[in-house]
Amino acid sequence: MIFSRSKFKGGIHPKDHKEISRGSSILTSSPGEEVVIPLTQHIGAPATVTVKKGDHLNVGDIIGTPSGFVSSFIHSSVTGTVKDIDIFPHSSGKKILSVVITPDKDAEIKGSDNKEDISIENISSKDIIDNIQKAGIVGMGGASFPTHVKLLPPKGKKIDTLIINAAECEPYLTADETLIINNIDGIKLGAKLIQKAVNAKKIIIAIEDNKPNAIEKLKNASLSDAGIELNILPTRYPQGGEKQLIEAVLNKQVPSGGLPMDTSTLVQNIATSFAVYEAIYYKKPLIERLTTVTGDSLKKPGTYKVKIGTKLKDILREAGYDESSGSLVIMGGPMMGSPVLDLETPVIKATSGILVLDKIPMEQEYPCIRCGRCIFYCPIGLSTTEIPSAYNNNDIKQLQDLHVMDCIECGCCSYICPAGIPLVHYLKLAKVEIRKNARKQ
Amino acid sequence: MENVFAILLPIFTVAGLGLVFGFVLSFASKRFAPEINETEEKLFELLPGVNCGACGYAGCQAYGKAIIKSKEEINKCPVGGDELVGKIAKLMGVDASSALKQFAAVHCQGGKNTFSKAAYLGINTCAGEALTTPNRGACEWGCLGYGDCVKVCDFDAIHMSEDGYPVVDIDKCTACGKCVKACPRAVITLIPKTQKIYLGCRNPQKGKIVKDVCSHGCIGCRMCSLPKFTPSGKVKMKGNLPEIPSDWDDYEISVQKCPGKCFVVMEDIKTFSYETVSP
Repeated sequence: MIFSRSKFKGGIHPKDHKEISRGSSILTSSPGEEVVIPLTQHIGAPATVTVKKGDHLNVGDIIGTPSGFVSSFIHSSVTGTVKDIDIFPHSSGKKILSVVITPDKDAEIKGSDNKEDISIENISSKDIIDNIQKAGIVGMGGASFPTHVKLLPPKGKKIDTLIINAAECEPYLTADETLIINNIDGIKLGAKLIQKAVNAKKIIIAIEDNKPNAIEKLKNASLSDAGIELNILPTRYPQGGEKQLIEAVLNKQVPSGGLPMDTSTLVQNIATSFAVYEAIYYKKPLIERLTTVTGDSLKKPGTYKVKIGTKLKDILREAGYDESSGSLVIMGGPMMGSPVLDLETPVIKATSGILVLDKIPMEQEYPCIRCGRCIFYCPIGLSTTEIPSAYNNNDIKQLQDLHVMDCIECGCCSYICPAGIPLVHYLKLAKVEIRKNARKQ
Repeated sequence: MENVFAILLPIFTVAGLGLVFGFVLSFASKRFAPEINETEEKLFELLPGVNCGACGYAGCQAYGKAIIKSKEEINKCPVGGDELVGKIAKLMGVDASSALKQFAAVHCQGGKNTFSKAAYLGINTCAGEALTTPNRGACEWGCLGYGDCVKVCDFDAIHMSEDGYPVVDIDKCTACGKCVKACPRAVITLIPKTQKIYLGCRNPQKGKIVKDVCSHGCIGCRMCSLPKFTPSGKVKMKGNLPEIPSDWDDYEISVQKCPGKCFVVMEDIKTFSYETVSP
């Protein structure tokens, strides 16, 4: 076991508020009258729909097939009938083609308890990756990049180290923590399967020190017998960012414009690791996930097990949300999540949290006072003070020279700015401009 | 005597040097003269010289060179319009294929007539809201009202109206197309200046949805396409929106009857009083 100081630059210490939803048990929520399953729940091409109106589906039936290499399978999360295939609100704020399924009222809940007897020595790397792809597993930390793509590095790249990311650095969220407390054995096996798939030498589970219960569980789980290292890091946002975590754990920097595999490392979220375990041992596709439902005004905050496609209003009703309060609902964490206007929006594979904020801390924007705090706290080391003016002048060349594309949009700069300038917003806009320009050429 | 010599020597030296260089330069200017293309010079003088880039070239000179070298079409300059095409055609000795003079039409009369469920707090530009808040419960197709188009206009031809949506000064508009590119919602398009009426809405959704978000939206009632209101039958429906042809004349009843008041008649906006906003 290694105790080390976080080595990555910058970062902030927002109040974590994790005590609101912290609890060892997993609460359950029912899917409501209908579930809406969007065909875009991952980075890459949207899935192609394979069902039609009126079809009867069982839990786990495929409703969308990948339309490219970087794409993913989509499965039905309930037993029921396809009611409609139309555009519906999506967590991105846009409206996206989705399949609406009405669950059968008296559908028997199929218990997937029949664990298959598989030993990690006997299963081949190819089998593991195929099963992961068929189960539609995507990165569950929030970026939702298809996992099978990450497990197939291009020729010439080798992966030595597998880091299982349990940092959960976003304030408020406790889903990964609860997962560790309840399913540590599954996580261990999932990590071993991913290790086998990419032929990595070492597994490290990285966790921040503000989750004592989960750390206790990990310490008692005899990880070292399974050849897994535990790395407890001092809490700092955005430690859970892939590149920041590599720097914190291994003291290696991912080059500008590069990928973690350039440092021979693979980072997987702890929930992804558990999903891999379920996919291989129970042949269960990714149809449900743990989501933190939290907020000061909720009557029953906690970590819920939700079916993909459940509408937010159904989950929030269960958590005791007063719809007339007009509180802001955010999907994801407070730092990187996106606000939701329509509570008809469904939960997708990447929804790690649903946050209800009563007070929105909005500051008025004042002119930049050149204090340089944004530069000091930027985990990438960007010259953030220069970017708004370069963007306003539409100076693409300068934006490129300022390495805007390396921004991870963590929001530290906006959080820390004493003048209340929405810096991360400028950075996002600058990225769009650069991409537009690249497309033109 | 010595004093006089001291004065004359530098005078003659400098004069002599001047003479020598003069000959060298005059020889060089004849021998290495660049080929002056008279047509090119004249063409550059004809082009407006505002370098707006609407023709798709870096500036007026670049467009002029393209006309001469790669036989580019001569009707690409919207600033000069028909007049310029005639002049260039005369100069170059080609047919004057007419360039339709266009202007930027704003296909939205939302602004303060729209209803929205939430507020947007962030950078006060259309691009800013379009990126982070694709839908705030208001019309997803209409004008966002921060005036990105006003800021990019080089000709002071587009202004924010009191109702919160941009209005184009048809006389000043040169159809350079900068506002068309700046609008993240694609509300602005270029239409011929001869057109008398256009549709001030581009929301193709069903009537009920449109009515929920805007009092000036097209609800797809199809009245303007009926022969009762348009005897010439020039208006055809395309989905939920009518397609307005550029030569539609018998529009008076339709304008009166339109439940969303979504038609914009050119004569009306010509007499519009502009409320200038500082960008």
